[in-house]
Amino acid sequence: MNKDTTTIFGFWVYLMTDFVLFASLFSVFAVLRSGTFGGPSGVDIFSLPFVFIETCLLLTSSFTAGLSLIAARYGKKIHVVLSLIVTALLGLAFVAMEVSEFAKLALEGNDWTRSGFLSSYFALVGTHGLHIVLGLIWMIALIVAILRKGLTRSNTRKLVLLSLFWHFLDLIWIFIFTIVYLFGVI
Amino acid sequence: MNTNDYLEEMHVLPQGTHMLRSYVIGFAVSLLLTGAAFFLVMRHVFPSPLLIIATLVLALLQFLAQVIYFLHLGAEKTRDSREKLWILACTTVVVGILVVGSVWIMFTLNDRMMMSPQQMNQYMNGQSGL
Repeated sequence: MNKDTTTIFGFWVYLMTDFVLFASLFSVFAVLRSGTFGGPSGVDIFSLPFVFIETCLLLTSSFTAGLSLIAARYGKKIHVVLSLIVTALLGLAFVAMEVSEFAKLALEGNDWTRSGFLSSYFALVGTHGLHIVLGLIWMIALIVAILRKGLTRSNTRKLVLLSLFWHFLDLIWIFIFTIVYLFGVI
Repeated sequence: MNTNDYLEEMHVLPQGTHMLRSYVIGFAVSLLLTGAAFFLVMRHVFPSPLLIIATLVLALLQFLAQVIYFLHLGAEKTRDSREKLWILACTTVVVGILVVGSVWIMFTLNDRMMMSPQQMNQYMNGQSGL
């Protein structure tokens, strides 16, 4: 192992601890799901087509993050930057949709203080959204770094880590989509 | 073609021309599985318990597809690639114990407290002033 593969390995270990964090939030959600305390349950507040579009946006952004890695393989700096910009825009659209969903719920009086179900819902989906926002900030910083210094060793390593992070967040979203939204409506 | 040697040294991508194919397959399979789950629930084609099992299976299939085609886990026959797979396996065990254990304990709580649901409700109402 050289220094870079060690860093990537360490980042992988971090992602696994994040996996455990999300697993505990999923357990909390599973336990509190029926604790609506007279408030709305999933079927009253979730719009499945809306969430389906969110899911497609995030999935496509995971794909374009992969494309940026292929462009980096061939040393095509412009293609790397372009696919990262597309990824960031898709991620931004995802965050915008999520924020509008949260705002709508809060304005209707269904914020996280309403019931155990809503507390666990906001904690789980909000933690995922927070990761996406941090990933977006990282992505913008990396785009600037690649534009300024090109595909150097350290920029290439960061690109690999970022794409790992981004694919991982899409993996978590599969389960949020299924367990929170699909199960919520069934 | 001008290749990025740094990336080659990091052993994160499968060799040769399989890369683009790998991402396209992963993307297509994921879209298909997401669409299938969405369609099943929107149309409510099965009774609810069967629907829950079906969507969970679709989610697990998509998880596998993305791990293989997006993360390329196990594609490189290097030591760190194998170790990544082991860590994922161990974490999955921890996650399984955490999720299944929590749900199991919390959903059989009345039994464990040796109370009927009515007694439990009475007890909980008695504590609500705290």
